[in-house]
This record gives sequence, C-alpha cells and structure tokens, in this order.
Amino acid sequence: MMEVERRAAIIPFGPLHPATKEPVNLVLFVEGEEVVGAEFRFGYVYRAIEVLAQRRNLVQVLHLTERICGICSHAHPLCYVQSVESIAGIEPPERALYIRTILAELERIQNHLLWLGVLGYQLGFLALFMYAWRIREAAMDAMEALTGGRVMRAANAIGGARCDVNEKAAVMIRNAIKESRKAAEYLFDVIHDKTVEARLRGVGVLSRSDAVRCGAVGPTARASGVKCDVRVDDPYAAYEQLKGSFSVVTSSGCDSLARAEVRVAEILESANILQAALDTLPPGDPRPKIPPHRVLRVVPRGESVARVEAPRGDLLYYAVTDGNGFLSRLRVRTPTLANLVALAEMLKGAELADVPAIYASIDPCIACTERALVVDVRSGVKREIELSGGGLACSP
Amino acid sequence: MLPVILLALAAVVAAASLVFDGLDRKIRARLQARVGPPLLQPFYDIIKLLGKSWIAPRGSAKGLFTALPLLALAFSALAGAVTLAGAVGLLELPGDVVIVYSLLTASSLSLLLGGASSGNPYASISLSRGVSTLFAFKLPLLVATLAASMRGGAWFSIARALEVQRARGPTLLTISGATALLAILAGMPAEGEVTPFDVTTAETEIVSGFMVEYSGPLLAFVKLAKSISRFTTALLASILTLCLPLGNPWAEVTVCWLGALLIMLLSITLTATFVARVRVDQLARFFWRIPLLLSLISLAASLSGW
Repeated sequence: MMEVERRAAIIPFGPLHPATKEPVNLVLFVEGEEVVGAEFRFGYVYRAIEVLAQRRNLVQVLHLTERICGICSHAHPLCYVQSVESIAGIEPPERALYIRTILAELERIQNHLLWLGVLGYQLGFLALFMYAWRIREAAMDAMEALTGGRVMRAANAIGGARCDVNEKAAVMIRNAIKESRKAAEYLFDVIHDKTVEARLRGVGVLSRSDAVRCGAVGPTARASGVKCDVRVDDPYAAYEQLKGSFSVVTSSGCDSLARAEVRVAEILESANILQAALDTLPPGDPRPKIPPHRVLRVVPRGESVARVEAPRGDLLYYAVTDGNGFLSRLRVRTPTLANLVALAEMLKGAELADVPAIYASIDPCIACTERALVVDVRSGVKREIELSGGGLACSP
Repeated sequence: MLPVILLALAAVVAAASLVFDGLDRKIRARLQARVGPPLLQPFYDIIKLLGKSWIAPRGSAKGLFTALPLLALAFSALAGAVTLAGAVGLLELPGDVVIVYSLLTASSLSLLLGGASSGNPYASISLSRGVSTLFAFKLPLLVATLAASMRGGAWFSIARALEVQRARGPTLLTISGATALLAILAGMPAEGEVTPFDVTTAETEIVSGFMVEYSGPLLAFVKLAKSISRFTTALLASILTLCLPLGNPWAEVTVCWLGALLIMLLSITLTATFVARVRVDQLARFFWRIPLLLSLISLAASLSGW
C-alpha cells in the first residue's frame, strides 16, 4: 500500500454492495470524490470447480462446466468439449458445429442485452434496465425453443450437439434476429442519450497500450482498439465457414461509452452470424457418433488447450486427461480474470460516482473467476487474494 | 386550537404525498412496461416499518441519529401544514413562503446530518454531496418561489398571493410566473431526490447515502419527511402560480392540488423514467446555469411588474 493511499479514506465496495452483484470486495482509496487506488479481494464465492472436475468422469464434467457461469452456460461447456475432442481427435458432425455457433451467438445477444440493462441500473436509468431485459426475452425464448432450457441448456455433447434446429426453433431464432436488430438500433440511440453519454464518455479510460499491457480481452479490449476475437483469430465451431458474414467490432473510444457501443454493435453482428448460420445450415444428424458411455473409453491420455470467444471475451480451457475417462487437471481462465487487471487501471483517478459504471463496463463475472483460495494449513487461516494495479498478491 | 388544525392539515398533506408516491410508482412502472405495486403501497410500507424495532448502530451518535429524522418529519409536516393553512385562509402569516422554505431546508439538512451521525462512510459522502447539492438547487428554487410570490404586492404571503391571482388571474400567465415555474420544475427532482438528481441517495454508488443505516420506524420517518417535503414544494409552486379564481377557497385548493400532482408528474415521474443519474459536478453546473438564470429572469420580471 502506498503512503498516499494510507492518508486517503477507505471506501469498501462490497463484499455486499448494490453495485457489485456478486460478492467481491473492491477497496477504494478515496480523496474527496477521487479514487487514488483500488484493490480487489476475492474468496467469497470460491466453489472448487477445478478440484470437483478431477473427481468426476469426462461426461459428468461437461455438466459441471455448464454450471460455472449462468450467463455463459454455453461458452464454458463448448470450450470444454472442444478441448476433449481435440485430445481424442473426434470430429463432430458439421450440423452440430453450426448449432453450437447458433447457440453461442444467441448467448452473446442475451449477455450483451443483460449487460446493457445492468449498466442502466448502475447509472440509475431503470427504464433502460427494464427495456433491455424485455428485449432479451426474444433470445431467451429462441434458446428455450432450441434446447428446452433457458439458462441450463445442456446442448453440448462430446462429439456433437444434443439438440437440433427444428421448424419451431428456426421461427423463434428468426424472430430473435429481427428483434435484436431492431433493438440494437434503438439501444444505440439510448446510450447516446445526453444524460447517459455524460456519464460514460471519458469515464474509465483504458488506452490501447494499457489494454495490451494488462492483457484485456473481449469487448473490453476491442473498445480500446485492440482487434482480437477468437472467432476470427482461431476459428472454432462453424466460424471458419461463416467468417464472411460478420466483422470484428472495434472502437477507438477507449472509455465506458466505447465499451457500450462495441457491445451494441456486436448484437447486430451476432444477428448477422445467426442469419447466415440458419441460411446455410447443413443437413444431417447433429448427435454425437460415439455415445457418452463409450466416449470415456475412447479419450486417450493427453492434454490440450481450447479457446472460445465467450460474450465477455477470450475463455480458455486447459485439460489433461488420464486415459481412464477422467481428468487429471482442468484449468479454466475466464475473461473476467483477464480484464480485472485492466479494471484496476481504469479505476485510478476516477470519480467515486463513476465507479459503478466503470466496474460494470468490463462485465465482471466474479463467481466464474474464483479459482483459488489460500489456506494456511498449519493455522487453518484463510487468506484473501488481492489484486491491485500491479497484479495478484496474497495478503495475510 | 391552531396546533390541532395544523396537525390535521399535516396529516392531510402526509396522506396526499403518500398517494402521490403510489401514483408515481405505478405510472413509472407502466412506462417501463411493468405492472407496478398497488396504489396504496407507500402506506403499507410506512405501516410495516412502524411496526419494526428501533435500531441505532453501535458507534453512532445515538441521540442525533434518532432525534434528527423526527425533527425532519416535524419540519416537513409543519411546512406542509402552513402551506395548506395559508391556502385555505386558516392562517395568515406574513412571509409564510419564506417560513415554508426555511422549514423544508431544515428538514433536508436534518436528514443529512442524522444519516452522517451514524458513522457510516457512505452517509458521510452523502452529507458532503448533499451540502453541495443543497447549495446548487435551493437557490434557484428559492429565488423562483419568492419571485412568484411577489406579484401585486403579495410579498411572500401565500394568502395574499392567492388574492392577487383571484383578482388578476393565475401568475403562470405572467413572464415571472412562467419562468419561475420552469425553474421550480427543474429543481423538483433534486428536492424529491429522484434521478437525475439523486446524487445524495444514489443506490449503486453510495448505497442510498444518508438512509443507509436507517431501518424500522426511523426509516418510516425519513421516508415520510422526504415525501412530504417534495409534495409541499410542488403544492406551494402550484398555489403560487396555478390558482384559478373559483370563488371557494377549498375548490381553489383542490385545483392547486391537481396542479401539484401535474408538477410532480412532469418533473419527477417522467423525468426519472427517461434519464440517467448525473454526477455532483454535473448537477451543480446545471443548476448554476439554466434554472438560476430562469429564476433571476423571473425575479427581474416580477420586480418590473410583468
């Protein structure tokens, strides 16, 4: 802790605070209304997911990964099945790849709309919250028609997909495309409303070089002008086939407004991908060729890294299989972890009033990010993991 | 006899302000495509809170923490009662507009101080924000209200302002009246602590600010005091600018009542639905420009008899 920070007033944001929907302790060092330093303390929602993954078989872990995040409940299992498929050399049917893509894009649309609503709430703009969440229902309904579930969709399987685009689902997806296109244009006007813009422009600035230095990912990095998107850089699912249907949205604004603009524009791009995927959906059976009980015997010993562009950014899985149908290690790096370092950077010099808007602008998902809990074995004392501008640190 | 009358009038104003709160919540919900709570929900809230236990946080200045919400409620209720009594001719105080204003400001300050005496850091930030906010918006609001109550030699008396309007038509139709009402409309969201000017109670920033440690009956008093304050401000503005000569003071007050509801609807319900919260510096910059200018124009026009 710097000397200047000791003199500053300490304002705790969390672990329970209306601005942080999840339990994380954001410690702000404030002089007047200016934030001179920020630290994050984690450990309130640690769930030992990676340990649990080592005690279940490969098929069970699929359902475990789906439960890491309620919003990205397609991106996580998708990333997981990709890593297992690459170890086993399984090629999923072409149609399954398209269905994975469709779900991923529907998920992106609902996530960005949900995020926009939360941003509205942080700014005290409740009408935006209500409208964005109502529009989001079109994407939720489409996912329900496609998979039978709104949140836990269980659509992925190792080597295929567990659902198919039937006539009803196609109608719902086309409706979601129409609604989100309409909504994106309207929401673009809303975030450029005078009062909203006044609260977002020039707030939480993350320069391009800082974004690269801090390793920011996803919309956070793209809003700082960094053109990175796993869908283009390292295509998976059907993105290679669909790459002509969309472009990577970037902005040079570098502030919270730019991050909002990028997400709204991404809703439009997602609608374009969905349209192209539906129009060129290959025929066939999307189900896996190898049934789940045999998959356990088919997957050899090996390791792999898989990446997915989750709605919040680059999601990375590192899996090591033991050849007996189990994992000897699963490592999950969520986009929020990558963006938190950048967040500490954005908070420096911010006004206290802007903290909620800045915090929300990276779309943090704390429960998904909690990976470690440090316990002193001799004394049994839990220690907090801290993150300040410089990186992760452990404090007694 | 006077205390009893004032108490009865305060109860009437309190009930009316809670009905407006219910209307506000219902209309805002409909505008956001929600169903919204029942109209009488604010009454249920107050009744429920009154039944809870009194809690003062350890480490707070307990006396101040408990007394100030009560004091704020007394100030607000008295302001409401004096306004209504002046309007129906039960009380003729010289300069009662100024008295009402002082009471309302005292009420706001009591709430801020009461909150800050809890020792909570959010409440202290709320106090510092609240003081700058009060300076920013109370001045245009006060100047505008005084300007509207000066017409025809009424000199800050509610009863005489009504007489002037009975003789010469609503003050709204004069330049000073129209500009004063505009300035008051701009100041209302700050007085009522709703978006865009709810910086002192911003939930996502400072966890409802000075109210953060209040619960139970004390919270009921805080809510009631705030509710009465904003309704009284609207009622006073309506009485000073929107009085139609109908021959019967109670009929006139009813019209003013509807006028107050209209003022609240325009300045609080609709505004809060369609804008985001501003920052303290943005708030101060706003009030030191347009509303202050409007109120000064109103004052100048009023002094020149327009």
